[in-house]
Amino acid sequence: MRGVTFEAGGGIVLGILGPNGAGKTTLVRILTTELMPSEGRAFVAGFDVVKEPEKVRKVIAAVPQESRPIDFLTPYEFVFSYLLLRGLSLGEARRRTREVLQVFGLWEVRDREVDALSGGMKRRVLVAAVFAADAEVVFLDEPTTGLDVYSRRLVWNAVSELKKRGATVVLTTHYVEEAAALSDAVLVLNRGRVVDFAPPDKLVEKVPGRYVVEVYGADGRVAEGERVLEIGGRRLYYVEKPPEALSLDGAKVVVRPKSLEDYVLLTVGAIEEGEEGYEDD
Amino acid sequence: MRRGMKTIRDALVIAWINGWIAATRGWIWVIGGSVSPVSFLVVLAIYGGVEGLKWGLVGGFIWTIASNGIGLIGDATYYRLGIKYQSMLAAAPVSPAGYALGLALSAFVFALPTSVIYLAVMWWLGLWILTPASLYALTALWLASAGIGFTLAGLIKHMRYDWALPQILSAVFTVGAPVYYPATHLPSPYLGVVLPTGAAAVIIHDSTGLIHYGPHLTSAAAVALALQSALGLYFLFKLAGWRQP
Repeated sequence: MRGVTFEAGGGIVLGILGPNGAGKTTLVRILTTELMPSEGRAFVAGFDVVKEPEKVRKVIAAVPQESRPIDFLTPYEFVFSYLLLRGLSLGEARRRTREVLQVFGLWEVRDREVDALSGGMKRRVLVAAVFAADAEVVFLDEPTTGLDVYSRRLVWNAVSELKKRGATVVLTTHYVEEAAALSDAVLVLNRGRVVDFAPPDKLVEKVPGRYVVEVYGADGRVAEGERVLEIGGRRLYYVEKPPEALSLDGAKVVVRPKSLEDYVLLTVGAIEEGEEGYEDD
Repeated sequence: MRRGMKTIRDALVIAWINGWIAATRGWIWVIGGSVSPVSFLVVLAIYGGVEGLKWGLVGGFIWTIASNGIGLIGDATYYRLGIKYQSMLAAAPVSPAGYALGLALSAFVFALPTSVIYLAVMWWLGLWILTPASLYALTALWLASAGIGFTLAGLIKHMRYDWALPQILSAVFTVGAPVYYPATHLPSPYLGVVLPTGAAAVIIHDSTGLIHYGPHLTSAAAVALALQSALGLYFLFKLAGWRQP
Protein backbone atom coordinates (compact mmCIF):
# COMPACT_ATOMS: atom_id res chain seq x y z
CA MET A 1 0.00 0.00 0.00
CA ARG A 2 1.27 3.48 -0.80
CA GLY A 3 -0.30 6.72 0.38
CA VAL A 4 -3.72 5.22 0.97
CA THR A 5 -5.89 7.81 2.75
CA PHE A 6 -9.64 7.69 3.20
CA GLU A 7 -12.28 8.10 5.89
CA ALA A 8 -15.61 6.33 5.92
CA GLY A 9 -18.47 7.10 8.30
CA GLY A 10 -20.20 4.58 10.53
CA GLY A 11 -23.25 2.57 9.51
CA ILE A 12 -22.42 2.44 5.83
CA VAL A 13 -21.36 -0.21 3.35
CA LEU A 14 -17.91 0.60 2.04
CA GLY A 15 -17.12 -1.27 -1.15
CA ILE A 16 -13.47 -1.80 -2.00
CA LEU A 17 -12.95 -2.43 -5.68
CA GLY A 18 -9.87 -3.19 -7.64
CA PRO A 19 -8.26 -5.79 -9.86
CA ASN A 20 -6.21 -8.73 -8.60
CA GLY A 21 -3.16 -7.40 -6.83
CA ALA A 22 -4.69 -3.99 -6.14
CA GLY A 23 -4.10 -4.27 -2.40
CA LYS A 24 -7.67 -4.93 -1.23
CA THR A 25 -6.80 -7.89 0.96
CA THR A 26 -3.66 -6.24 2.29
CA LEU A 27 -5.75 -3.25 3.36
CA VAL A 28 -8.33 -5.49 5.04
CA ARG A 29 -5.62 -7.46 6.83
CA ILE A 30 -4.12 -4.25 8.18
CA LEU A 31 -7.51 -2.95 9.31
CA THR A 32 -8.39 -6.25 10.99
CA THR A 33 -5.07 -6.11 12.92
CA GLU A 34 -3.71 -9.22 11.26
CA LEU A 35 -0.94 -7.50 9.35
CA MET A 36 1.39 -4.87 10.79
CA PRO A 37 1.73 -1.87 8.48
CA SER A 38 5.31 -0.81 7.84
CA GLU A 39 4.29 2.82 8.27
CA GLY A 40 1.25 5.07 8.49
CA ARG A 41 -1.79 5.06 10.77
CA ALA A 42 -5.22 3.54 10.57
CA PHE A 43 -8.25 3.74 12.84
CA VAL A 44 -11.22 1.41 13.00
CA ALA A 45 -14.23 2.52 15.05
CA GLY A 46 -11.97 5.17 16.57
CA PHE A 47 -9.26 2.74 17.68
CA ASP A 48 -5.70 2.71 16.40
CA VAL A 49 -5.06 -0.63 14.68
CA VAL A 50 -1.37 -0.52 15.59
CA LYS A 51 -1.54 0.73 19.17
CA GLU A 52 -4.92 -0.62 20.25
CA PRO A 53 -5.37 -3.93 18.44
CA GLU A 54 -7.28 -5.56 21.31
CA LYS A 55 -9.84 -2.75 21.36
CA VAL A 56 -10.22 -3.02 17.59
CA ARG A 57 -10.75 -6.80 17.79
CA LYS A 58 -13.61 -6.37 20.25
CA VAL A 59 -15.65 -4.35 17.77
CA ILE A 60 -14.86 -6.10 14.49
CA ALA A 61 -15.64 -9.39 12.79
CA ALA A 62 -14.31 -10.67 9.50
CA VAL A 63 -14.77 -13.27 6.83
CA PRO A 64 -11.28 -13.50 5.30
CA GLN A 65 -10.67 -14.07 1.62
CA GLU A 66 -10.79 -17.76 0.62
CA SER A 67 -11.78 -18.79 4.12
CA ARG A 68 -13.79 -21.93 4.79
CA PRO A 69 -15.50 -23.24 7.91
CA ILE A 70 -13.84 -26.19 9.66
CA ASP A 71 -15.03 -29.14 7.61
CA PHE A 72 -15.61 -31.72 10.34
CA LEU A 73 -17.83 -29.41 12.39
CA THR A 74 -21.53 -28.90 11.79
CA PRO A 75 -22.82 -25.40 10.96
CA TYR A 76 -24.27 -25.26 14.48
CA GLU A 77 -20.95 -26.15 16.11
CA PHE A 78 -18.99 -23.74 13.95
CA VAL A 79 -21.20 -20.73 14.66
CA PHE A 80 -21.70 -21.66 18.32
CA SER A 81 -17.98 -22.11 18.99
CA TYR A 82 -17.16 -18.86 17.16
CA LEU A 83 -19.59 -16.99 19.41
CA LEU A 84 -18.16 -18.65 22.51
CA LEU A 85 -14.68 -17.60 21.40
CA ARG A 86 -15.98 -14.05 21.07
CA GLY A 87 -16.92 -14.20 24.73
CA LEU A 88 -20.68 -14.72 24.60
CA SER A 89 -22.34 -16.73 27.36
CA LEU A 90 -23.48 -20.27 26.58
CA GLY A 91 -27.16 -19.30 26.60
CA GLU A 92 -26.70 -16.24 24.42
CA ALA A 93 -24.45 -18.13 22.00
CA ARG A 94 -27.07 -20.88 21.69
CA ARG A 95 -29.87 -18.37 21.12
CA ARG A 96 -27.97 -16.42 18.47
CA THR A 97 -26.76 -19.56 16.73
CA ARG A 98 -30.29 -20.85 16.36
CA GLU A 99 -31.55 -17.47 15.17
CA VAL A 100 -28.81 -16.90 12.61
CA LEU A 101 -28.97 -20.41 11.16
CA GLN A 102 -32.68 -19.87 10.57
CA VAL A 103 -32.06 -16.48 8.95
CA PHE A 104 -29.45 -17.95 6.61
CA GLY A 105 -31.49 -21.01 5.66
CA LEU A 106 -29.07 -23.36 7.41
CA TRP A 107 -31.26 -24.65 10.22
CA GLU A 108 -32.27 -27.78 8.30
CA VAL A 109 -28.60 -28.73 7.83
CA ARG A 110 -27.44 -27.62 11.27
CA ASP A 111 -26.33 -31.16 12.26
CA ARG A 112 -24.71 -32.05 8.97
CA GLU A 113 -20.92 -31.84 8.74
CA VAL A 114 -19.75 -28.78 6.81
CA ASP A 115 -17.80 -31.07 4.49
CA ALA A 116 -21.08 -32.40 3.11
CA LEU A 117 -22.50 -28.95 2.32
CA SER A 118 -22.40 -27.11 -1.00
CA GLY A 119 -19.90 -24.29 -1.58
CA GLY A 120 -22.64 -21.71 -1.19
CA MET A 121 -23.80 -23.15 2.11
CA LYS A 122 -20.24 -23.26 3.42
CA ARG A 123 -19.82 -19.57 2.67
CA ARG A 124 -23.16 -18.83 4.30
CA VAL A 125 -21.96 -20.58 7.45
CA LEU A 126 -19.03 -18.17 7.64
CA VAL A 127 -21.15 -15.10 7.00
CA ALA A 128 -23.74 -16.36 9.50
CA ALA A 129 -21.10 -16.63 12.22
CA VAL A 130 -19.92 -13.08 11.62
CA PHE A 131 -23.51 -11.86 11.35
CA ALA A 132 -24.34 -13.38 14.74
CA ALA A 133 -21.37 -11.65 16.34
CA ASP A 134 -23.19 -8.32 16.13
CA ALA A 135 -19.93 -6.46 15.57
CA GLU A 136 -19.65 -2.73 14.99
CA VAL A 137 -17.50 -3.10 11.89
CA VAL A 138 -17.72 -6.18 9.66
CA PHE A 139 -15.11 -7.02 7.03
CA LEU A 140 -16.20 -9.28 4.20
CA ASP A 141 -13.31 -10.06 1.89
CA GLU A 142 -14.74 -11.32 -1.39
CA PRO A 143 -17.57 -13.18 0.34
CA THR A 144 -19.44 -14.04 -2.83
CA THR A 145 -16.63 -15.29 -5.05
CA GLY A 146 -17.67 -18.55 -6.64
CA LEU A 147 -21.22 -18.45 -5.27
CA ASP A 148 -24.32 -19.15 -7.32
CA VAL A 149 -26.74 -16.29 -7.91
CA TYR A 150 -29.10 -17.46 -5.14
CA SER A 151 -26.40 -17.79 -2.47
CA ARG A 152 -24.92 -14.50 -3.56
CA ARG A 153 -28.18 -12.75 -2.93
CA LEU A 154 -28.46 -14.30 0.51
CA VAL A 155 -25.09 -12.76 1.31
CA TRP A 156 -26.28 -9.45 -0.12
CA ASN A 157 -29.31 -9.63 2.17
CA ALA A 158 -26.98 -10.17 5.10
CA VAL A 159 -24.94 -7.11 4.14
CA SER A 160 -28.09 -4.99 3.92
CA GLU A 161 -29.33 -6.35 7.25
CA LEU A 162 -25.99 -5.60 8.93
CA LYS A 163 -26.24 -2.04 7.68
CA LYS A 164 -29.80 -1.79 8.92
CA ARG A 165 -28.57 -2.79 12.37
CA GLY A 166 -26.12 0.10 12.28
CA ALA A 167 -22.96 -1.86 11.51
CA THR A 168 -20.33 -0.61 9.10
CA VAL A 169 -19.59 -3.19 6.44
CA VAL A 170 -16.32 -3.20 4.55
CA LEU A 171 -16.86 -5.30 1.46
CA THR A 172 -14.13 -6.18 -0.99
CA THR A 173 -15.28 -7.68 -4.24
CA HIS A 174 -14.34 -8.37 -7.82
CA TYR A 175 -17.95 -7.98 -8.83
CA VAL A 176 -18.55 -4.38 -9.75
CA GLU A 177 -22.32 -4.78 -9.91
CA GLU A 178 -22.19 -6.11 -6.34
CA ALA A 179 -20.30 -3.04 -5.14
CA ALA A 180 -22.71 -0.79 -7.05
CA ALA A 181 -25.77 -2.49 -5.60
CA LEU A 182 -24.64 -2.59 -2.00
CA SER A 183 -22.17 0.21 -1.34
CA ASP A 184 -22.77 3.69 -0.04
CA ALA A 185 -19.19 4.57 -0.89
CA VAL A 186 -16.65 2.87 -3.08
CA LEU A 187 -12.91 2.89 -2.59
CA VAL A 188 -11.19 2.05 -5.85
CA LEU A 189 -7.67 0.69 -5.47
CA ASN A 190 -5.06 -0.15 -8.04
CA ARG A 191 -1.50 -1.26 -7.47
CA GLY A 192 -1.61 -0.30 -3.81
CA ARG A 193 -2.90 3.23 -4.39
CA VAL A 194 -6.28 4.91 -4.10
CA VAL A 195 -7.71 5.64 -7.54
CA ASP A 196 -10.95 7.17 -6.27
CA PHE A 197 -13.23 7.28 -3.26
CA ALA A 198 -16.85 8.36 -3.74
CA PRO A 199 -20.45 7.08 -3.79
CA PRO A 200 -21.02 4.72 -6.74
CA ASP A 201 -23.33 7.13 -8.62
CA LYS A 202 -20.70 9.89 -8.40
CA LEU A 203 -18.15 7.53 -9.90
CA VAL A 204 -20.53 6.60 -12.71
CA GLU A 205 -21.03 10.30 -13.44
CA LYS A 206 -17.36 10.50 -14.34
CA VAL A 207 -17.89 8.10 -17.24
CA PRO A 208 -18.40 10.08 -20.48
CA GLY A 209 -21.72 9.81 -22.34
CA ARG A 210 -24.86 8.08 -21.09
CA TYR A 211 -24.81 4.81 -22.98
CA VAL A 212 -22.28 2.20 -23.94
CA VAL A 213 -22.22 0.42 -27.27
CA GLU A 214 -20.18 -2.71 -26.80
CA VAL A 215 -19.10 -4.36 -30.04
CA TYR A 216 -17.16 -7.57 -30.50
CA GLY A 217 -15.93 -8.91 -33.82
CA ALA A 218 -16.33 -5.86 -36.06
CA ASP A 219 -13.53 -4.24 -38.04
CA GLY A 220 -13.04 -0.51 -37.90
CA ARG A 221 -14.91 2.13 -35.93
CA VAL A 222 -18.67 1.52 -35.98
CA ALA A 223 -19.90 4.44 -33.87
CA GLU A 224 -18.80 7.88 -32.80
CA GLY A 225 -18.31 7.90 -29.08
CA GLU A 226 -17.10 10.52 -26.64
CA ARG A 227 -14.56 7.91 -25.71
CA VAL A 228 -13.67 4.51 -27.10
CA LEU A 229 -12.10 1.72 -25.11
CA GLU A 230 -10.46 -1.26 -26.77
CA ILE A 231 -10.09 -4.55 -24.98
CA GLY A 232 -8.69 -7.10 -27.41
CA GLY A 233 -11.22 -7.52 -30.23
CA ARG A 234 -13.89 -5.70 -28.23
CA ARG A 235 -14.67 -2.00 -28.50
CA LEU A 236 -16.71 0.04 -26.05
CA TYR A 237 -18.15 3.30 -27.37
CA TYR A 238 -19.33 5.80 -24.77
CA VAL A 239 -22.15 7.75 -26.42
CA GLU A 240 -24.85 10.26 -25.44
CA LYS A 241 -27.60 8.53 -27.39
CA PRO A 242 -27.88 4.87 -28.36
CA PRO A 243 -27.46 4.43 -32.13
CA GLU A 244 -30.73 3.94 -33.99
CA ALA A 245 -29.48 1.17 -36.23
CA LEU A 246 -26.32 -0.86 -36.22
CA SER A 247 -25.98 -3.49 -38.87
CA LEU A 248 -22.79 -5.43 -38.38
CA ASP A 249 -22.47 -8.82 -39.99
CA GLY A 250 -21.36 -11.46 -37.50
CA ALA A 251 -20.53 -8.93 -34.81
CA LYS A 252 -21.93 -9.10 -31.32
CA VAL A 253 -23.44 -5.79 -30.24
CA VAL A 254 -24.78 -4.80 -26.85
CA VAL A 255 -26.21 -1.36 -26.06
CA ARG A 256 -26.65 -0.56 -22.37
CA PRO A 257 -26.63 2.37 -19.95
CA LYS A 258 -23.22 3.21 -18.51
CA SER A 259 -22.43 1.67 -15.13
CA LEU A 260 -19.85 1.48 -12.38
CA GLU A 261 -18.17 -1.25 -14.37
CA ASP A 262 -17.40 1.27 -17.09
CA TYR A 263 -15.84 3.58 -14.55
CA VAL A 264 -13.58 0.74 -13.41
CA LEU A 265 -12.75 -0.22 -16.99
CA LEU A 266 -11.83 3.33 -17.90
CA THR A 267 -9.85 4.23 -14.80
CA VAL A 268 -8.35 1.00 -13.57
CA GLY A 269 -8.44 -1.38 -16.50
CA ALA A 270 -6.75 -4.69 -15.99
CA ILE A 271 -3.29 -5.23 -14.62
CA GLU A 272 -1.20 -6.43 -17.48
CA GLU A 273 -0.52 -10.09 -17.49
CA GLY A 274 2.56 -10.97 -15.47
CA GLU A 275 2.73 -7.60 -13.79
CA GLU A 276 3.40 -7.81 -10.10
CA GLY A 277 0.57 -7.20 -7.71
CA TYR A 278 0.67 -6.08 -4.12
CA GLU A 279 -1.50 -8.63 -2.41
CA ASP A 280 0.49 -11.30 -0.69
CA ASP A 281 -2.04 -13.92 -1.56
CA MET B 1 -7.40 -12.35 36.21
CA ARG B 2 -10.22 -11.74 33.72
CA ARG B 3 -7.79 -12.05 30.82
CA GLY B 4 -6.49 -15.32 32.26
CA MET B 5 -10.00 -16.73 32.49
CA LYS B 6 -10.70 -15.73 28.89
CA THR B 7 -7.48 -17.48 27.79
CA ILE B 8 -8.53 -20.67 29.58
CA ARG B 9 -12.05 -20.45 28.15
CA ASP B 10 -10.71 -19.95 24.61
CA ALA B 11 -8.32 -22.87 25.06
CA LEU B 12 -11.19 -25.10 26.18
CA VAL B 13 -13.41 -24.08 23.25
CA ILE B 14 -10.61 -24.80 20.76
CA ALA B 15 -9.85 -28.08 22.52
CA TRP B 16 -13.55 -28.98 22.33
CA ILE B 17 -13.85 -28.43 18.58
CA ASN B 18 -10.36 -29.41 17.46
CA GLY B 19 -9.80 -32.16 20.03
CA TRP B 20 -12.98 -33.75 21.29
CA ILE B 21 -15.18 -33.32 18.20
CA ALA B 22 -12.34 -34.05 15.79
CA ALA B 23 -11.25 -37.17 17.68
CA THR B 24 -14.75 -38.57 18.15
CA ARG B 25 -15.54 -38.04 14.44
CA GLY B 26 -12.14 -39.14 13.18
CA TRP B 27 -10.99 -42.18 15.12
CA ILE B 28 -8.58 -42.97 12.32
CA TRP B 29 -6.38 -40.05 13.45
CA VAL B 30 -6.32 -41.32 17.01
CA ILE B 31 -5.23 -44.73 15.76
CA GLY B 32 -2.81 -43.17 13.25
CA GLY B 33 -1.06 -41.26 16.02
CA SER B 34 -0.50 -44.42 18.03
CA VAL B 35 0.77 -46.64 15.22
CA SER B 36 4.46 -45.65 15.28
CA PRO B 37 4.96 -45.87 19.06
CA VAL B 38 3.12 -49.19 19.14
CA SER B 39 5.25 -50.65 16.35
CA PHE B 40 8.39 -49.75 18.33
CA LEU B 41 6.80 -51.36 21.35
CA VAL B 42 6.20 -54.60 19.47
CA VAL B 43 9.77 -54.75 18.14
CA LEU B 44 11.19 -54.11 21.61
CA ALA B 45 8.93 -56.75 23.16
CA ILE B 46 10.03 -59.32 20.57
CA TYR B 47 13.74 -58.70 21.04
CA GLY B 48 13.80 -57.64 24.69
CA GLY B 49 11.06 -59.68 26.34
CA VAL B 50 9.34 -58.13 29.36
CA GLU B 51 12.24 -55.75 29.95
CA GLY B 52 12.07 -54.59 26.33
CA LEU B 53 8.31 -54.23 26.65
CA LYS B 54 8.78 -51.91 29.65
CA TRP B 55 11.22 -49.72 27.73
CA GLY B 56 8.84 -49.75 24.79
CA LEU B 57 5.91 -48.72 26.96
CA VAL B 58 7.72 -45.84 28.61
CA GLY B 59 9.23 -44.71 25.30
CA GLY B 60 5.90 -45.02 23.53
CA PHE B 61 4.16 -43.02 26.23
CA ILE B 62 6.72 -40.22 25.94
CA TRP B 63 6.52 -40.32 22.15
CA THR B 64 2.73 -40.13 22.26
CA ILE B 65 2.84 -36.99 24.40
CA ALA B 66 5.61 -35.35 22.34
CA SER B 67 4.31 -36.29 18.90
CA ASN B 68 0.91 -34.88 19.64
CA GLY B 69 2.45 -31.59 20.73
CA ILE B 70 4.50 -31.54 17.56
CA GLY B 71 1.50 -32.78 15.61
CA LEU B 72 -0.32 -29.50 16.18
CA ILE B 73 1.88 -28.16 13.39
CA GLY B 74 -0.58 -29.74 10.98
CA ASP B 75 -3.66 -28.17 12.59
CA ALA B 76 -2.11 -24.75 13.10
CA THR B 77 -0.87 -24.60 9.51
CA TYR B 78 -4.16 -25.83 8.11
CA TYR B 79 -6.14 -23.25 10.08
CA ARG B 80 -3.76 -20.44 9.13
CA LEU B 81 -3.03 -21.19 5.49
CA GLY B 82 -5.59 -23.77 4.44
CA ILE B 83 -8.93 -22.37 5.53
CA LYS B 84 -7.94 -18.98 7.03
CA TYR B 85 -9.70 -19.80 10.30
CA GLN B 86 -6.87 -18.17 12.23
CA SER B 87 -7.44 -14.93 10.28
CA MET B 88 -11.10 -15.06 11.27
CA LEU B 89 -10.14 -15.42 14.93
CA ALA B 90 -7.45 -12.74 14.62
CA ALA B 91 -10.25 -10.31 13.79
CA ALA B 92 -12.14 -11.19 16.97
CA PRO B 93 -11.61 -10.78 20.71
CA VAL B 94 -9.99 -14.21 20.90
CA SER B 95 -6.91 -14.76 23.05
CA PRO B 96 -4.06 -15.84 20.77
CA ALA B 97 -2.44 -17.68 23.65
CA GLY B 98 -5.75 -19.40 24.36
CA TYR B 99 -5.92 -20.46 20.72
CA ALA B 100 -2.38 -21.89 20.82
CA LEU B 101 -2.94 -23.65 24.14
CA GLY B 102 -6.26 -24.95 22.85
CA LEU B 103 -4.54 -26.53 19.88
CA ALA B 104 -1.99 -28.11 22.23
CA LEU B 105 -4.79 -29.31 24.49
CA SER B 106 -6.68 -30.77 21.55
CA ALA B 107 -3.54 -32.66 20.57
CA PHE B 108 -3.53 -34.04 24.10
CA VAL B 109 -7.16 -35.14 23.68
CA PHE B 110 -6.04 -37.16 20.66
CA ALA B 111 -3.29 -38.76 22.73
CA LEU B 112 -5.57 -39.68 25.63
CA PRO B 113 -6.97 -43.05 24.46
CA THR B 114 -3.50 -44.33 23.57
CA SER B 115 -2.08 -42.97 26.80
CA VAL B 116 -4.73 -44.73 28.87
CA ILE B 117 -3.92 -48.05 27.21
CA TYR B 118 -0.21 -47.51 27.86
CA LEU B 119 -0.91 -46.67 31.49
CA ALA B 120 -3.06 -49.75 31.93
CA VAL B 121 -0.41 -52.07 30.48
CA MET B 122 2.34 -50.39 32.53
CA TRP B 123 0.27 -50.79 35.68
CA TRP B 124 -0.25 -54.46 34.80
CA LEU B 125 3.52 -54.90 34.47
CA GLY B 126 4.09 -53.13 37.79
CA LEU B 127 5.53 -50.02 36.19
CA TRP B 128 4.11 -46.98 37.97
CA ILE B 129 4.73 -43.92 35.81
CA LEU B 130 2.45 -41.47 37.59
CA THR B 131 5.03 -40.30 40.11
CA PRO B 132 5.38 -36.58 40.87
CA ALA B 133 8.70 -36.47 38.97
CA SER B 134 7.21 -38.20 35.93
CA LEU B 135 4.12 -36.02 35.96
CA TYR B 136 6.35 -32.95 36.01
CA ALA B 137 8.36 -34.36 33.11
CA LEU B 138 5.27 -35.18 31.04
CA THR B 139 3.64 -31.80 31.62
CA ALA B 140 6.83 -29.91 30.81
CA LEU B 141 7.36 -32.10 27.75
CA TRP B 142 3.83 -31.36 26.56
CA LEU B 143 4.38 -27.62 26.93
CA ALA B 144 7.81 -27.72 25.30
CA SER B 145 6.66 -29.81 22.35
CA ALA B 146 3.54 -27.66 21.88
CA GLY B 147 5.74 -24.56 21.89
CA ILE B 148 8.05 -26.10 19.31
CA GLY B 149 5.05 -27.19 17.25
CA PHE B 150 3.38 -23.81 17.28
CA THR B 151 6.65 -21.98 16.62
CA LEU B 152 7.44 -24.12 13.61
CA ALA B 153 3.86 -23.89 12.35
CA GLY B 154 4.23 -20.11 12.27
CA LEU B 155 7.27 -20.41 10.02
CA ILE B 156 5.65 -22.67 7.43
CA LYS B 157 4.78 -20.79 4.25
CA HIS B 158 3.12 -23.58 2.28
CA MET B 159 0.69 -26.27 3.31
CA ARG B 160 2.71 -28.98 1.61
CA TYR B 161 5.47 -28.76 4.25
CA ASP B 162 3.23 -29.39 7.20
CA TRP B 163 2.84 -33.10 6.42
CA ALA B 164 6.55 -33.92 6.30
CA LEU B 165 7.85 -31.78 9.14
CA PRO B 166 6.10 -33.54 12.05
CA GLN B 167 7.32 -36.90 10.80
CA ILE B 168 10.93 -35.71 10.67
CA LEU B 169 10.66 -34.06 14.07
CA SER B 170 9.07 -37.12 15.64
CA ALA B 171 11.94 -39.27 14.43
CA VAL B 172 14.59 -36.81 15.63
CA PHE B 173 12.91 -36.31 18.99
CA THR B 174 12.36 -39.98 19.73
CA VAL B 175 15.24 -41.81 18.09
CA GLY B 176 17.80 -39.01 18.38
CA ALA B 177 17.03 -38.68 22.09
CA PRO B 178 17.27 -41.54 24.62
CA VAL B 179 13.57 -42.24 24.76
CA TYR B 180 13.55 -45.96 24.01
CA TYR B 181 17.06 -46.64 25.29
CA PRO B 182 19.15 -45.52 28.28
CA ALA B 183 20.99 -42.22 28.08
CA THR B 184 24.13 -44.15 29.06
CA HIS B 185 24.28 -45.42 25.46
CA LEU B 186 25.23 -41.92 24.32
CA PRO B 187 28.89 -40.73 24.30
CA SER B 188 27.90 -38.62 27.32
CA PRO B 189 24.58 -39.22 29.10
CA TYR B 190 24.23 -35.45 29.48
CA LEU B 191 23.72 -35.22 25.70
CA GLY B 192 20.44 -36.96 26.39
CA VAL B 193 18.91 -33.87 27.98
CA VAL B 194 19.49 -31.60 24.98
CA LEU B 195 16.10 -32.41 23.50
CA PRO B 196 12.96 -32.18 25.66
CA THR B 197 11.96 -35.78 24.90
CA GLY B 198 15.37 -36.97 26.12
CA ALA B 199 15.22 -34.82 29.25
CA ALA B 200 11.73 -36.09 30.06
CA ALA B 201 12.81 -39.66 29.37
CA VAL B 202 15.80 -39.39 31.73
CA ILE B 203 13.50 -38.29 34.55
CA ILE B 204 10.87 -40.94 33.80
CA HIS B 205 13.36 -43.79 33.32
CA ASP B 206 14.87 -42.95 36.69
CA SER B 207 11.56 -42.35 38.43
CA THR B 208 9.99 -45.61 37.24
CA GLY B 209 13.09 -47.57 38.18
CA LEU B 210 13.96 -48.69 34.65
CA ILE B 211 17.46 -47.41 35.26
CA HIS B 212 19.05 -45.23 37.94
CA TYR B 213 21.04 -42.39 36.50
CA GLY B 214 21.94 -40.67 39.74
CA PRO B 215 20.95 -37.25 41.05
CA HIS B 216 23.29 -35.19 38.84
CA LEU B 217 21.86 -36.34 35.50
CA THR B 218 18.22 -36.27 36.66
CA SER B 219 18.70 -32.77 38.11
CA ALA B 220 20.28 -31.63 34.85
CA ALA B 221 17.32 -33.14 32.99
CA ALA B 222 14.81 -31.38 35.25
CA VAL B 223 16.52 -28.01 34.77
CA ALA B 224 16.87 -28.53 31.01
CA LEU B 225 13.23 -29.49 30.72
CA ALA B 226 12.13 -26.46 32.74
CA LEU B 227 14.14 -24.20 30.42
CA GLN B 228 12.85 -25.96 27.31
CA SER B 229 9.22 -25.70 28.39
CA ALA B 230 9.68 -22.05 29.43
CA LEU B 231 11.26 -21.37 26.03
CA GLY B 232 8.46 -23.28 24.32
CA LEU B 233 5.85 -21.26 26.19
CA TYR B 234 7.65 -18.02 25.43
CA PHE B 235 7.65 -18.71 21.71
CA LEU B 236 4.10 -20.01 21.87
CA PHE B 237 2.85 -16.78 23.43
CA LYS B 238 5.12 -14.56 21.36
CA LEU B 239 4.23 -16.13 18.05
CA ALA B 240 0.60 -16.45 19.02
CA GLY B 241 0.26 -12.69 18.84
CA TRP B 242 -1.73 -13.06 15.63
CA ARG B 243 -0.20 -10.13 13.87
CA GLN B 244 2.26 -10.74 11.08
CA PRO B 245 5.12 -8.32 10.50
